[in-house]
Amino acid sequence: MSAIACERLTLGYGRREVVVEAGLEVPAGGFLALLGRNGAGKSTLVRGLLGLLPPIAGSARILGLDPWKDRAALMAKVGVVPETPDVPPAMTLADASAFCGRLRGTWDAAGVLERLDRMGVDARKPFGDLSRGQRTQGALALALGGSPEVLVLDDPTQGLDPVARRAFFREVLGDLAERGTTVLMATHDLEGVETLADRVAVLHEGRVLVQAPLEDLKARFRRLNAPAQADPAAFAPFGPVHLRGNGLGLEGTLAAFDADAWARAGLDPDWARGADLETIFTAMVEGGAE
Amino acid sequence: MKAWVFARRELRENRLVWAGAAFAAVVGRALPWAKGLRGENEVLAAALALHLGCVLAVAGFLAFRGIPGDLGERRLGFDLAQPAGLGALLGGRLLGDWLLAVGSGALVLVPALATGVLPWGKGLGLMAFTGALAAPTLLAAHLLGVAWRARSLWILLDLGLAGFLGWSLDALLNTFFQEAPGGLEVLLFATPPVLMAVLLLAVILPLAWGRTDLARVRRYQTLILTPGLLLLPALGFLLLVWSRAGGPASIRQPLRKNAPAGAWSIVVGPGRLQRPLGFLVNGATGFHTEAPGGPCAFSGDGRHLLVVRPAGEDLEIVDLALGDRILGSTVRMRLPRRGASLGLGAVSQDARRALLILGRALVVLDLEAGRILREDKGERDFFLARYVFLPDGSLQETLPPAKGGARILDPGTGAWREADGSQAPVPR
Amino acid sequence: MRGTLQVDPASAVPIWKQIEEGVRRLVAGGALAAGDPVPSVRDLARDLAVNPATVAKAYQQLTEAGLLVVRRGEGTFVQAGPEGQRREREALLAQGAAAYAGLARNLGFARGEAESALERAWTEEKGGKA
Repeated sequence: MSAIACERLTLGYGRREVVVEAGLEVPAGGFLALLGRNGAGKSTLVRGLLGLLPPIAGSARILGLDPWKDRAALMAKVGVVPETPDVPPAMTLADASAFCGRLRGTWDAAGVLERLDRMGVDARKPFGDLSRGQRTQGALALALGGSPEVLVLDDPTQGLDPVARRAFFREVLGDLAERGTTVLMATHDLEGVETLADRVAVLHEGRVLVQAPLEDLKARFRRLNAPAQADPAAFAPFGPVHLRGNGLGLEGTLAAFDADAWARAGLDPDWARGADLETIFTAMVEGGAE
Repeated sequence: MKAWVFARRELRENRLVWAGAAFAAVVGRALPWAKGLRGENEVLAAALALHLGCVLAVAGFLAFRGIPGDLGERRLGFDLAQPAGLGALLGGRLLGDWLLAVGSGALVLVPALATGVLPWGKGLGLMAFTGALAAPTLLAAHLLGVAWRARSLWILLDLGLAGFLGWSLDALLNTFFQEAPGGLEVLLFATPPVLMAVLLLAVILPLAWGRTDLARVRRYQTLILTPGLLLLPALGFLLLVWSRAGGPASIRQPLRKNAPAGAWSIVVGPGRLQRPLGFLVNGATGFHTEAPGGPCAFSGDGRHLLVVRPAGEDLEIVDLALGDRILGSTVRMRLPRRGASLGLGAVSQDARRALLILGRALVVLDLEAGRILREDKGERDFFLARYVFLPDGSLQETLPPAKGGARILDPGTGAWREADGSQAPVPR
Repeated sequence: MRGTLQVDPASAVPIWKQIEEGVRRLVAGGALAAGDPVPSVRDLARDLAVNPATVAKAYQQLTEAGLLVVRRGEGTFVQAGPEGQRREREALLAQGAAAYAGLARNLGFARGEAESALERAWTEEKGGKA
């Protein structure tokens, strides 16, 4: 059974539909990176999946529960790191941990403190006095305190310095490795999730453009770097995006690369190199590649 | 219980409120002394005012600070990520805020209760009253907070509705007092719960529906508030129509103040809010006229009615002996500031002097000259029964049994002198 | 072993494949001998900052190929003996040779020219080292 699944999920505010017929599926233990530009509807989709917004149409299921109807039951199994962590500002993280523990059946208070210590966050400082990075790390420690089956992160590394960002990913990673948590992470941090995510969903103007294992996307996309005398028409079958000459040669992205067809066409394998997630993402949302 | 977890957090998070209340309690105790107002009444008034102010201020503060910001998960997100239902979450936080408001109010009353200025029974009654008041205050402040944050024009409609509700309730009550039908208690009794229910719905329903879009929440609030606030006047007017059509005409027992002697009495409808509406009635002849407004008292012999005009400075003396053609004579003079709380009074037989007991002061007026002949302030209460005007216009006071004897206020000098015993008062 | 394993996320080669090849290279080069322990999936995932499932997949491929063996309760160990090591080295050499041949072909050289270039490089390398 998929840990997270939604089908034709439409979400919005009033008459304004922000997410239209989104379909997502994350198997248990999977790591889905939800990508999209600002305003693409990532946060709205996350809200819908956390039961903070009623579906206009379609359905969502997390661990088999309807988030809108069974939010309270679901939250016992889900850890959340919101875009802007909002633990009451006067509370220390130690207090917040005790508070969460009282509301949950299983709570690893010692684990939370240990994690905070490891990340270098003072558990006895009021939450409002912590820096942005520390707040995010604190929110992560609290989210993982209940040993969640699913971890939902809404752009958590936004505005973090490289050290804090690295520490953050290490903690998520550690939890993944130890307990096989399912993760859904809405993010702009393409570099950060590149090696972590095993699935990628791209949201563009409220619609899910693509949802696929990252490995499949990497197999399909190539960064093209061909000499100037190469014939641009030769690349047409490989889904060229943003193809342009730069004086020294042709460059662009190929969205439908096929190694066999490439070899048959007699093209140099060196011209098509692996594409990183940023290249893939840009080609999809800007170039309309699917 | 999960709601209690949220309530506890609210209490803990706002624990500074206790310190503020304790500070207010000390200041409240010290303030009358600092201002030289040392009578027990002043101390009591300070304690009561402080209590009411504290409860309302804390409730308003917490509602604005704690709950209203919670709309939209920007502030509620942490709570909504907990495995707790919306009822436990909002109910718990409201409970915590309510406990803080009521608890800090109680703390402010402690000095008054401990020193016996306020009896325990009355204190508990007062706390129950403000406790009941704190809940709608919390909710109303919450609503206002949402309205303010949403910066929506709907707020004008809401305020207009609230004004209409107040006006219609007042109009209804006034009509009811004149019509004196039953059902008034029902309306008075039904208003707070209905209002609470409307406010609760307006707060919680939009929250449960679509938490994130403030403008949308506002619209739902107004949609709930409009029929809710209109429901109450509608109920009242229905009641009015029903009672006019011959509904249950259980005549209410009006407030009646009888003159010590004679057939005159003042009948006041039950608790008029703005203008005292009463009738001066002659029980023997059936003559009645609208009573002069303001605190009033019959003189000890029942011949005169003393009325302090609402401005608090004019004393009107109505000569009841003139029978059905009542004439009032107004004396313009600066009464001491406590004049509005006219307790009792007496007028001399020649109607040239009057005695007023104003709060804890005894004031003797020279009506002819329009001045205050003498003003005595006392720590103890003055009893009207101890004073009597002698035929020559002087005032005689029977001293307490411990001292014995009597003394007389000289009408010329305004000074007390020992009575020589030859002018024994007529015992009343 | 950790410092010598590197992952290039931008490469067209899947990350699990990169890890697999990395381990194969280490075995071929003798850095890992039979009986040596390899880091746990969790530790390696942490060190490389990659999804543990990816590391697990690489390990699974290597185990199926007989290079690694999982001993319950102890961890994962290199199983390949001298025979396996030789095979890995040969495979690595074949890989390099294929890449060289491809490059020469793409540049339009004949087989003979490529071979003599290889010959020259071989002697120069030896001469340089000597």
